[in-house]
Amino acid sequence: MTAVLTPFSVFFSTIRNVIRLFVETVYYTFRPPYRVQPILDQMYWIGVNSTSIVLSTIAFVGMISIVELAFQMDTVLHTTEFVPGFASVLILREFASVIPAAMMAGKVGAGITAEVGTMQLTEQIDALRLISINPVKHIVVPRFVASVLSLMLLSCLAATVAIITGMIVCEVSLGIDWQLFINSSRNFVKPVDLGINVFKAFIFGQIIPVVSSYYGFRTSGGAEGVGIACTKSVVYSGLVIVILDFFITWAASVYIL
Amino acid sequence: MNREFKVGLLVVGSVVAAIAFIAILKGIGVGPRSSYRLKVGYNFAGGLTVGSPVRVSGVKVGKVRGVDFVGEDPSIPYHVIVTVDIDDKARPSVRKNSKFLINMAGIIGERYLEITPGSKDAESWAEGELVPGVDPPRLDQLISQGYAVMGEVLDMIEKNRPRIERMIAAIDAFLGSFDEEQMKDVGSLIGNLSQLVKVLNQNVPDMMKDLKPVLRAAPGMINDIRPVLKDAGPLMRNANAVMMDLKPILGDARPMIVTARESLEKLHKLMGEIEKYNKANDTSLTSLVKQVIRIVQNMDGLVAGGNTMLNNLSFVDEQWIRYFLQEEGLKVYASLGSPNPRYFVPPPPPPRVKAPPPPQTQPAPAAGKPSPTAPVAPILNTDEEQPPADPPRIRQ
Amino acid sequence: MSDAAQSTESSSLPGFIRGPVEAVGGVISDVAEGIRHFGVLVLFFRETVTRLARPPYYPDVIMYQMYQVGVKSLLIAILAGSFVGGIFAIQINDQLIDFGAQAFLGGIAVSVTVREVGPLMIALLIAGRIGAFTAAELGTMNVTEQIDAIRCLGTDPIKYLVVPRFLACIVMSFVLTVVGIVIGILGSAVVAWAICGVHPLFFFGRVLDMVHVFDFVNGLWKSFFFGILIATVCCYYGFNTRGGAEDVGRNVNTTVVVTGISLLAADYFLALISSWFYTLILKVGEI
Repeated sequence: MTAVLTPFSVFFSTIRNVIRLFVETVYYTFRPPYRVQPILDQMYWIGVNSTSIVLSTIAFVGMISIVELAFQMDTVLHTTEFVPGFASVLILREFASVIPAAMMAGKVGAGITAEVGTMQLTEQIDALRLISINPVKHIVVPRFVASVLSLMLLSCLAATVAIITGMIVCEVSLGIDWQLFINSSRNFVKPVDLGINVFKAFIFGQIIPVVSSYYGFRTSGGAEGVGIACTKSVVYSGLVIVILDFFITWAASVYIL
Repeated sequence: MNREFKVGLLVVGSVVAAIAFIAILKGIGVGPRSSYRLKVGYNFAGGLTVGSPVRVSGVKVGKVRGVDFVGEDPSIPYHVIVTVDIDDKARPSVRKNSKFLINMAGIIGERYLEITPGSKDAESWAEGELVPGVDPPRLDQLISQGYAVMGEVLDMIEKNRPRIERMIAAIDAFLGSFDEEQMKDVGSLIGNLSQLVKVLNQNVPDMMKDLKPVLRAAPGMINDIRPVLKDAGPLMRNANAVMMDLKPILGDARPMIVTARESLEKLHKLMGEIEKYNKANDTSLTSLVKQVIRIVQNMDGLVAGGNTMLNNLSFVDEQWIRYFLQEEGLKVYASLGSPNPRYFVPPPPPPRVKAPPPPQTQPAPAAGKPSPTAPVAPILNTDEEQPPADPPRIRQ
Repeated sequence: MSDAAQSTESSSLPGFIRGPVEAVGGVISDVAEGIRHFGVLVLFFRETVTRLARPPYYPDVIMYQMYQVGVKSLLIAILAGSFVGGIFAIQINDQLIDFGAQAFLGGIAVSVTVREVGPLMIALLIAGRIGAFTAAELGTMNVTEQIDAIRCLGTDPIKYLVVPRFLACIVMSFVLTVVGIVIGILGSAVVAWAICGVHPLFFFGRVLDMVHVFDFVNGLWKSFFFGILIATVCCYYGFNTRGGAEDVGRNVNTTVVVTGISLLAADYFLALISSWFYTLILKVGEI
C-alpha cells in the first residue's frame, strides 16, 4: 500500500518544496540589500550565452511553421493567402516564448543545476549557511532575475527572427514578398499577441532557475548525481513550462480573445 | 514485471497502435481495391486539384488523379481533362446519362467531383473513356453581375435623390398648409395642390427616364441568369447560403420598385380625383372638402411609400454590400476600396430584351362639356417622350 | 573554441576595423569548426552502424538502455503530449473561429500533431532527458578511464556502450512518438470538447478526409531521423570527451546546443522533402 502511495507523496512534497523555494526567491528578490553586480554577471552568462542557440533554433522554427501552415492551408482553404497571418500569430503566441524557454531550460537550466550541484557536493552551500549568508539570496536570486529579464528580451528577439526567416521562406516557396507578408499579417496580429509573448516569457523565465536550483540543492552522490540532477531539472522544467503554457493559452483564449 | 517485459510491452503496444492508426487512416477493410479510370472533359475546372475526392450519390468512391490541359488535339472539344479513379463498386451507378459536376462543400469547402447516378437502363462507361463534364457555374461572375445590378439601382436612387426629396418636401408643404388652414382657405389649399401637381409633372417623367434602363436591364439580367441557374441546380442547392442571402438584397430592391410603382399609382389616382373635381366643380364645399380629405389620405400613402423607399435603401451602399459579401468568405473584398477588385469582371452588357410595357392608363378626355383645360399628361407613359403638359387649370 | 580568434600579437589595424574583422574571422572559424564536427559525426555514425550487425551482441545492455530511455520517459511523454495537444487545439480553434471553419479543427489539429508537433516534441523530450544524461555519463566514464579499462578487457567499447544506447534511442524515439501522437490527439479532442465546445464526433468527423496515411508515415520517419541524430550526437560527444570534469560539463553543453539546433534544422529539411514527396505520391499511387 505504501509502495503505491509513495510516488504520490514524493510528487506532492516535491511540488510543495519547489513552491516554497519559489516564494523564498521572490521574497528575497524584493528585500534589500540589493546586489546588482551578480545579477549583471548572471545576465551575461544566461542571456548572452543562450542567444546563439535560441536564435538558431527559432530561425528554423519560423521556417518550419511557414512550410507546415502552407501545407495545412492548402488542404483546407486551397489558398495560401492567410499563411503569413496565421504563421505570425502562431509564432507570437506560441513558439517565440516556448522554444526559447525550452532551449534555455536545456542549456542554462542544466548549467545552473550543474553549478549549484557541484557547490552542494563540495559543501559550499553549507559553508555559506555557516557564515549566515542565505544561499537562496546569494545564489538563486541573481539567476532568477537574470533569467526572467533575459527570457523576456530573448522572446521578443526570437519573434523577430522567426518572422524574418518566415518571410524569407514565404518569398522563396510561396511567392509572397515581405510587404505583402506584413500587410496581410496586419489583419491577424494584434498588439495583445506580443503581450502574450512577453507574459509567457516572464512566467517561463521564473520556472527555469527555480526548478534548476531546486534540483541543484538536492544533489547527492558525486558526479553521477550531478548528471542525474541535471537531467531531472531539464525534463521537469520543460514539463512545467508545457503545463503552464497550456493554462496560459486557455486563460488568454477565454479572457482576452 | 521486470524490465524486459515492460520494454517489450511498450514496443509491441506502440507497433500495434501504429498499425491500427494506419489502418484507420486508410479506411477499414484494407485490401486491394480495384478501381477504373475515366477521363472527364471540362472547360472550367473550378479549382479541382489532384487528390480531390470523387463522390457518387454523395458517397466518396475515388480520387482525382490528374488535371491536365488538353493541348493541341483538335478532336477533343474541351480545354481541361480531369483523370479520375472510381471504385469498381460504384461502377453500376455511373452510367452514360450521369452528370459529372464539380461541387463545393460549403463556401470555403473543398471542391469535389460529384457524379449523379444514372438510370439503370443506360449503358456504363468503359475504362478510359472521355466523359463530357458539366462546367460549374462561375459564381464569381454571378456575384459580379448581381453587383452591377445593385450598382445601377443605387445610381438611380442617388441621381434622383434630390428629386425625390423635393417631391416629399412639396407633399409635406401641401399637408402642412392643409393642417394650418383647416377649412378656412380652400383656395390656397387648391393652389398648393396645383403647385404639387406641377412639381410632380416636372420630376416624375425624368425619374421614370432613369428607372427605364434599370427596368429594362432587370429582365435582361434575369434572362442571363436563367440558363446559368438551370444548369446549376445542384450548385444552387449547395450554395444556398450565398443565394439565400443575396435574396434579401434583391428582395429589398423588388418591394422598393413595387412601392415606387404603387406610389405612382396612388399619384395617378390623385390626378383622377383632380379630374373628377374639374368635372364636378360646382358642388358644395363639404363635398369638396371630403374630396380633398380623400386626396390627402391618398397622399399619406404616397409619403409613407416614399419614406419606406428611402428607409429600405438607406443602409444598402457599396460598403455594406462588400462587407456582406466578405462575411460569406468570397474573395471580392481582396482590395477594399480599390477601383478594381480582384475578381470584378465587368459584366457583358445585357442583351436588349423588350421589357413588358408598364401599365398605361389614359385619363378619359372630358366628355360633353367643352373644357378649356388641356388633357392631363399621362404620367406612366414611358415609351414616348412627351413634354410635360400644362397643369390643368382650375376654374376659380 | 575561440582560441583561433585571439591574435597573439597586436595587429596594426585600428580598433574599429579590427573588431569586425575578428568577428567575421570568428564566425568563419566557427562555421569551419561546425563542418568539421559534422564530418566527424558522420564518421562516428558509420563506425557505430558497422558494428551493429557484428557479434557479439549484448542484449541485456540493450534492454537496460531501452528501459532507461523508453519506459522511464513514458509518463513524461504522456503528460507532455496531452498538454501540447491541448495547446494546439486551443490555438488552432482561435484562428478557425474567425473563419467559421471550426469543422476543420479536428482535421488540422490531428494533422499538425501527426506531422509536426508529435515527432518534434518527443525528440526534444528525448534530447533533454537522454541526450544530456548520456553525454554526461559517457563523458564521466571516459574521464575516469573506464572506457580504457573496457578496452583493456578486450571488449569493444563502442559495441558495448554506444551501440545499445544508439539502438535504444532509435527504437524508443519511434515508440514514444507513436505514444506521443496518440496521446496528443486524445488531448486535443478532450480539450476541444471541454474548452472549445467541439463535440468529439464533430472533431473526428473530418479527420479521415484530411489526414492521410502519408502524414503518419511522415511523422514516423521524422522520429526515426531524430532518434539517429540524438543518439549520434550525444554518444559522440560523451565518448570523445578528453580532459577533466569540467570538460564533461562543457561537452554536455555542446551536446545540448548541437542537438537542439540540428533537430530543428533537420525538421525543416525533412518537412521540405516530405511535402515534395507528398505531391509526387499523390499523383502516382494510393495513399
